[in-house]
Amino acid sequence: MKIVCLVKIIPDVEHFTYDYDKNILVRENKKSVVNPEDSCAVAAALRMKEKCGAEVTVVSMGPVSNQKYLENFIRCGADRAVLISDEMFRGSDTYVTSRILAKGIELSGFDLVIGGTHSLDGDTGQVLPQVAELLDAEIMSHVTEIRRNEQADRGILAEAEDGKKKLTFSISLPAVIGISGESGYKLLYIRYDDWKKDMSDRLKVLTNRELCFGEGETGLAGSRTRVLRTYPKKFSDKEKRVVQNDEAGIEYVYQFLLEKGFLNDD
Amino acid sequence: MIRVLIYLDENSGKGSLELIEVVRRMYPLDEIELCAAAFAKPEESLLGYFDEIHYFQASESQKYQARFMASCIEKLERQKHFSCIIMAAVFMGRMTAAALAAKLGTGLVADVVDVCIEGGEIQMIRPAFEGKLMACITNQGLGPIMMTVRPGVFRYDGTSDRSTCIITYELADEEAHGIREKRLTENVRNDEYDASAGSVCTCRKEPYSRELCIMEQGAKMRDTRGGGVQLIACTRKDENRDICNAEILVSGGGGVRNHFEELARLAKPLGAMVSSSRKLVDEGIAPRSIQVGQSGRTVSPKLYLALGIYGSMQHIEGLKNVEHIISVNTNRNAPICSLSEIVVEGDAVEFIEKLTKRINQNKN
Ligand SMILES: Cc1cc2nc3c(=O)[nH]c(=O)nc-3n(C[C@H](O)[C@H](O)[C@H](O)COP(=O)(O)OP(=O)(O)OC[C@H]3O[C@@H](n4cnc5c(N)ncnc54)[C@H](O)[C@@H]3O)c2cc1C
Ligand SMILES: Cc1cc2nc3c(=O)[nH]c(=O)nc-3n(C[C@H](O)[C@H](O)[C@H](O)COP(=O)(O)OP(=O)(O)OC[C@H]3O[C@@H](n4cnc5c(N)ncnc54)[C@H](O)[C@@H]3O)c2cc1C
Repeated sequence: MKIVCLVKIIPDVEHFTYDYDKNILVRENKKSVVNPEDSCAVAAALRMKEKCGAEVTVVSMGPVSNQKYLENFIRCGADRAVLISDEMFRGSDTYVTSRILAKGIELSGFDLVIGGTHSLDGDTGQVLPQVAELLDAEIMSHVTEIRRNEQADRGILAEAEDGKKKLTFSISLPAVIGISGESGYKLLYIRYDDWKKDMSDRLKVLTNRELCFGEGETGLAGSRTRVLRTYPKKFSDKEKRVVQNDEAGIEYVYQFLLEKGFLNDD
Repeated sequence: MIRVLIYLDENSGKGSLELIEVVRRMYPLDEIELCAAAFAKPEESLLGYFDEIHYFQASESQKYQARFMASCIEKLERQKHFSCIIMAAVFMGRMTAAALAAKLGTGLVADVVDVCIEGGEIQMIRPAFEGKLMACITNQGLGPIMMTVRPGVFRYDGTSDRSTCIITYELADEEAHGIREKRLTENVRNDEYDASAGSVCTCRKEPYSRELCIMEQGAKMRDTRGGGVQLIACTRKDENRDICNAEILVSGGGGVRNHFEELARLAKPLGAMVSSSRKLVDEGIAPRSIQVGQSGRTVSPKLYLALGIYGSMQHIEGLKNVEHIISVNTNRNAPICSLSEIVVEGDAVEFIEKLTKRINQNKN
């Protein structure tokens, strides 16, 4: 089985820098981290590799400086890594990002794509379903556990969580799976000896020369959404309503609970 | 005429109506044709709010096939050309919206918490970076404006005087991968709906529903997949008796010290857990494991009911990302009240009694 892991390297959300004029993130030379759910995704893939054999490729789009993170995944047990990096791709929204990633994944070949349900920075949760659509694959997010489906020829079993509901699915391949941060999958520490190993021969960088998008198809120009401006969140009080402990007041609270869906269960 | 589509999430119930408020703010001056897409039988309480409800009779598994649901909506869009498609940012809503946007090649803004119009342009506001940053975003595509909306942010108080036409689509059985609408029933005046409920269903023969079938046969759909997600089990998550995981907390403080056990009465019908302030823990009334605050647990429920809690700094410290706070207090100026969406001024025990009664009354 060929597994592709999608990994996004994100600015440390505690200390990110953002170019408010150009509306793009300044990522180079700043502290970055691996999106936490994506680490879980790689861990899930490596677990499958261990159990039933698989070839694991880590794919990431971002600046060239992200190579060091990808090499670490190889040290953890991934077979190879692909960094998609081109000035043309900078500033892409999820629509364009998904198109680029889908092309990269297709070039690598895949049966199963595993990523995070959402990233901590952009946090749209849109990339995986869009990638699935473009690859004509099944999609399920919020997955806490995946394993091979022994009953099916080419399929997996996935557990997902929707609020209080725990759902078990049988999913045919090819499929795209979004791992949830609550999954408990953890990457093992890299062995000391491996830290020093040179992994660069197993890391490939793809640019637009390989992916062949036309001018204006990618980056800000190709995007279907545009971030006009951003600003730090102001903490304004929610609109407050004072009611009495009488019939009208109770009714108000009751309707509120009903409307917000707090009375739906059971 | 502006035509808008709203996705009715099965689990949100009347909560889906808040999406109408988004529409109202986007097009304050226009006449709007309001359509909805549903994959579970639309609740009676939703009648009257929409001109049309397109009900796709999905199987339990199909309700978890985002790409399948997206292609149903895609076909609607291809005929009706909506100005805007709005979905709740919930489990299936998010996935379906994203798959749909990719099909339509249009932009999708996630988790919108506000919309505004500037220079005739519709702008959508959303949080990013764990809520530290707010972004104002526009749609650049040629297709409909698409967004997912964070639940619980908007509130629709408008009327429900539309006559709703429900168009039901029978779908191919789930064994057959992909989508094949077998037939549609262009009904409505569904007798199961009680017309006396205030809203009237009128019967309209819509030629386009036929077209839907024709289109299906004629057009080569790319959607050969999307039917490969099958639900094989659905259970309740192990009720982890940890207040940190609770979605709803009924929390008590000094104001309920003599009646702490009453809290469980209200917690039960809400499916909530009981928590407490430190005061009651120190007094030996509540166990330490359920103390909220700086020296207790940090909790993130969607709803926090603060009954007889003052709202000291140390207590508030334990509330992170709580979506809604309702407080009941004899003193409407207690600090907890300034954080609350609803303040009920009065005795907390009396409140428990009355609200529990109101909730149970509706259940029977
Ligand atoms: C403030 C702000 C608001 C934005 N709002 C929107 C918006 O509403 N709509 C929109 O279309 N775009 C938006 N964008 C752009 C969007 O954040 C980028 O396109 C981003 O590259 C991908 O989206 P995400 O981080 O939301 O991914 P998500 O969909 O949240 O990520 C899910 C998973 O996809 C994979 N993945 C995502 N990006 C990559 C990558 N670069 N390389 C490898 N794997 C990846 C990872 O596995 C990740 O865990 C916004 C950007 C900013 C800065
Ligand atoms: C180092 C330190 C750590 C602490 N850590 C925590 C912590 O982790 N968690 C915590 O909660 N506290 C903590 N505290 C204690 C905190 O400072 C407060 O003393 C405590 O939270 C007060 O609890 P309360 O609001 O329940 O009670 P009270 O202060 O007694 O307030 C009772 C409230 O109920 C209202 N009321 C009275 N009668 C009624 C009625 N019949 N119906 C409705 N309302 C009524 C009153 O108007 C009042 O607002 C800490 C203190 C210190 C110094």
